[in-house]
Amino acid sequence: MSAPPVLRVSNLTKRFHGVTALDKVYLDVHAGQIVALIGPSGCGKSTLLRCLTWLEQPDDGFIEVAGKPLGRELMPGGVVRRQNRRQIDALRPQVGIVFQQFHLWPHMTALENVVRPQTVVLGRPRDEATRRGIELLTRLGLADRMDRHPHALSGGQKQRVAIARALAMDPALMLFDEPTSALDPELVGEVLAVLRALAGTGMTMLVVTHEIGFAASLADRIAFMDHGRILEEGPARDIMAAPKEPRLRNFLDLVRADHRIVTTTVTPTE
Amino acid sequence: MGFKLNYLLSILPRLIGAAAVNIRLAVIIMLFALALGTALTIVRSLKIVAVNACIAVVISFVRGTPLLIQIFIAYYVLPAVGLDLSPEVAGVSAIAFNSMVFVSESMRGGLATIDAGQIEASTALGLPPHAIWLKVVLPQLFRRIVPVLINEATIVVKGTALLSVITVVDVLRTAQQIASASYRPFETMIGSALVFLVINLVISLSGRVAESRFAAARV
Ligand SMILES: Nc1ncnc2c1ncn2[C@@H]1O[C@H](COP(=O)(O)OP(=O)(O)OP(=O)(O)O)[C@@H](O)[C@H]1O
Ligand SMILES: [Mg+2]
Repeated sequence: MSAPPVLRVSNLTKRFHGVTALDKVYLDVHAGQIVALIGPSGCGKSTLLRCLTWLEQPDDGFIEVAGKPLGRELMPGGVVRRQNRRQIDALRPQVGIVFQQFHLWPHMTALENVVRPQTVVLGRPRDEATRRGIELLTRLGLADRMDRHPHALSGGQKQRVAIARALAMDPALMLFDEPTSALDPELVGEVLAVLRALAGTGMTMLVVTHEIGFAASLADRIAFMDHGRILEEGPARDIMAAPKEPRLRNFLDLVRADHRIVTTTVTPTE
Repeated sequence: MGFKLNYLLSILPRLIGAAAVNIRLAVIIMLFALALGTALTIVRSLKIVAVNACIAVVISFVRGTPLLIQIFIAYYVLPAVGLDLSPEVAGVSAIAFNSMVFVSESMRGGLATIDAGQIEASTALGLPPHAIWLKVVLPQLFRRIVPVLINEATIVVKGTALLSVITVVDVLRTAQQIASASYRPFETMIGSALVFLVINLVISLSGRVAESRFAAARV
């Protein structure tokens, strides 16, 4: 039997006060794969990622991380059992998430941001955690910024610290929610370069992005989402070259026509 | 009977000696107020409707009634329900309870200014709730409410003078004793006012230093 996928999402459904944000989502991500998740604004990409770290509780469906159920498990006999916070917290370090807005801790230095979760959550000795933090920050080009507080870092630097913080937990899977869209255009490149380097190390990643060119060049697979459903999913090359779904074709045409229009004005209409 | 500086200077040592009582009580009160105020803030953040409704009633009582009456309740009324407290304990309890509410109110205000994204990032990393409070929220919250805490500390120091009415021998009661023996209320009251003024100036100044240090770190 082959190893279970790093991420298996089945029948995931999430409603907000009657609005269906996720509609029976199925998705597998295998070890070492990079999956780009694309789709118009409001189609549920962020909601999916948030469900995968249980920041949002799905109403239905299952999530498995490296073969282990997250949040809710199906017991023999068809009984669904909800996990408690402790069980969920135990799995959370396996799934690293990087947000659009970084969400660093402002009262800690860059290094402390990376060290603290290791000592608190994984119980790593402080010097080992510090060594790991220095190693990661150096690898991400922040060797001379480690003692700065977030307010004294540029957006790109903050985002790299946030990536280092997630990586320090040795996750099986990294989730990125539009990691470059809060950045000034000239800072986008440095963060994309980090993602590229990360891809080179064989990290399994699920990346929500509006950078279609980047998705096409980096991702192994592309999943297209609309109205809370994954409408089409397949090898990146096939999706880019020969999209089957009309809505995906429309979406790609729009993106190619003008990247800016997509990020600001496309609404999820038929 | 005019004002005699010499007489004022002669009673100052006794008043300063008595100030040790006010300072000791104020420190104890502030420690309790901080600990209980923090605990109360955490309880309120759980958003349990019935609990928060009860807390809201208590808060409106504390904010809407004079501190002096609250002190009298602790000293004269609680014994009726079997809680016989010494003057100091009753006084400390009453002021600490009062101050706890103000600390919690300002913490709740500060809480709203802490970006929810940070909490979500902490949660996603696997930090359990107590660690999020201890490592992420409270350190930022305390820094943010330093000005309020400093202000509250000066109010508490002044509040300890009220304990003279329930027989705690503090600066004010010492001054009254001196005045009733010497018939010189002018100097004694000026003297006790000076003692409080100096204590609170020291608190305000050290608060300002702490504030500017946090401002320099911009957190
Ligand atoms: N907390 C919430 N409460 C109510 N509705 C929500 C909430 N979060 C998301 N939604 C709704 O769920 C849908 C999906 O939102 P989501 O943020 O996942 O979209 P998205 O694909 O990430 O969009 P974008 O590309 O703009 O980031 C939207 O209709 C949104 O309005
Ligand atoms: Mg989004």
